[in-house]
Amino acid sequence: MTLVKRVNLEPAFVLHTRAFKETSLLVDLFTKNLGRINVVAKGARKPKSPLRSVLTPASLFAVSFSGKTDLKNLNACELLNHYSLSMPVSFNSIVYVNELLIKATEKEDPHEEIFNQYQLLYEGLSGKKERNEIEVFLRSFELVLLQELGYGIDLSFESISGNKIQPKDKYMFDPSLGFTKVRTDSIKSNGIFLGKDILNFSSGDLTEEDSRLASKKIMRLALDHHLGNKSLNIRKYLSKE
Amino acid sequence: MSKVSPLVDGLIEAMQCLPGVGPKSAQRMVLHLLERNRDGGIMLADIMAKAIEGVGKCKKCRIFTESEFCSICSNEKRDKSFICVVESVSDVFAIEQSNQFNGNYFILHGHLSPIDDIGPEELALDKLFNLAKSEEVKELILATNSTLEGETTSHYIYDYLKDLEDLKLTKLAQGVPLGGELEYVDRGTIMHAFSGRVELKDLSK
Repeated sequence: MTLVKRVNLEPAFVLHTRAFKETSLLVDLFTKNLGRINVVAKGARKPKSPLRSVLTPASLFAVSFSGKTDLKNLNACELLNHYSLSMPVSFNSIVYVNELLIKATEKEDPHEEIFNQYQLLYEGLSGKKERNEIEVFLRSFELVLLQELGYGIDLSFESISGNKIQPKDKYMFDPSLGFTKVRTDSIKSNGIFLGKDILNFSSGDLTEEDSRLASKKIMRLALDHHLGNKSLNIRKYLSKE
Repeated sequence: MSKVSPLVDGLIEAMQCLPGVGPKSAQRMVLHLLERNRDGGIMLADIMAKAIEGVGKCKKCRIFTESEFCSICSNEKRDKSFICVVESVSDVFAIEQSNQFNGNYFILHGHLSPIDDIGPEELALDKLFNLAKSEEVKELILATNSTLEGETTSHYIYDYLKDLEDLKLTKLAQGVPLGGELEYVDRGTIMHAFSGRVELKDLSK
């Protein structure tokens, strides 16, 4: 863990806020160079505070904070960019991604690549988008997240033999191993996917319904495996989707 | 802190369960009650015990009340075809002060927040859905806070109820505050204000 004394104008997103004492706010920040940081925004809930209603997700800030302990003090916060999310689906996506980030990454563990991808996700989500476009951004975020955490998945080659994945073959996905070719007729059983869908996922083309569902299942298997017992609550709430 | 007597110390410590009250202000409150206002203290203790014991949630709207239904729900003059969904009881007080709304409420006591483990069950959404399905309700006004979680909550409710015919689902308008100067309004609000602009003709009706 890094001992941070004072950090100035660090790019950051707000992941989560909760009320703290009478007028303060506890903020979970995701910073570019320092990873997740918890700060107290003193007086941010006072009626006339300039920070009131500003410290929310979907905005990029330049934050300055200081402190030696786990919980820093927010000294200043400038709004750099606000992403306007129009579709309600994108709200769900952000709530999902934020929960994922909080549960998958450790505090004060820098992940610059994940940060960049997170920013790309916001750029992708803002403006009017079709549902499957949004899913492409989500899936590529999940891929980068896993890769940066050291659990990258190879979507082009088999894990043991090293052969190229062929569109017509079927593959079994094991989150700790990768893809292995199997001879079976049904792809209905869990964890078995068609080569074509895997390759489509790897090239970011999720226009086909089958590929879209397959990519979602692959990521779900992988994330569940690596998150261990920290299951994502939002899945329970949105289970009918 | 000074050790005076178990009762006094205990009271000072108990006072600190209030929000924004630390050891120092708790001590000030306790000394004030003991020195100058014992009657007030007795009244406070009495009504507090009664309230904590007796106050539950209204069976219909979940506002705090000691009877089965709250005074808003049982008021015959209020229009039962409008239900306004809010996050907290303080929102109800704010809306009531505006004297603008004459319908009934439904209080969620929070918003969907997976990180804090708050889901549809904690918000008693099944109760809201049942209420919305009853015939007398014509319009559901989603007045959750304009935060990411608030919007997510309101979208969750919308998603569940959107196929109901004869039920109008609305949300509060967003825009420039009354007496506000554009120069000081944040960008997000200005954007909403533009997309939600209204024809002057409609306003002068």
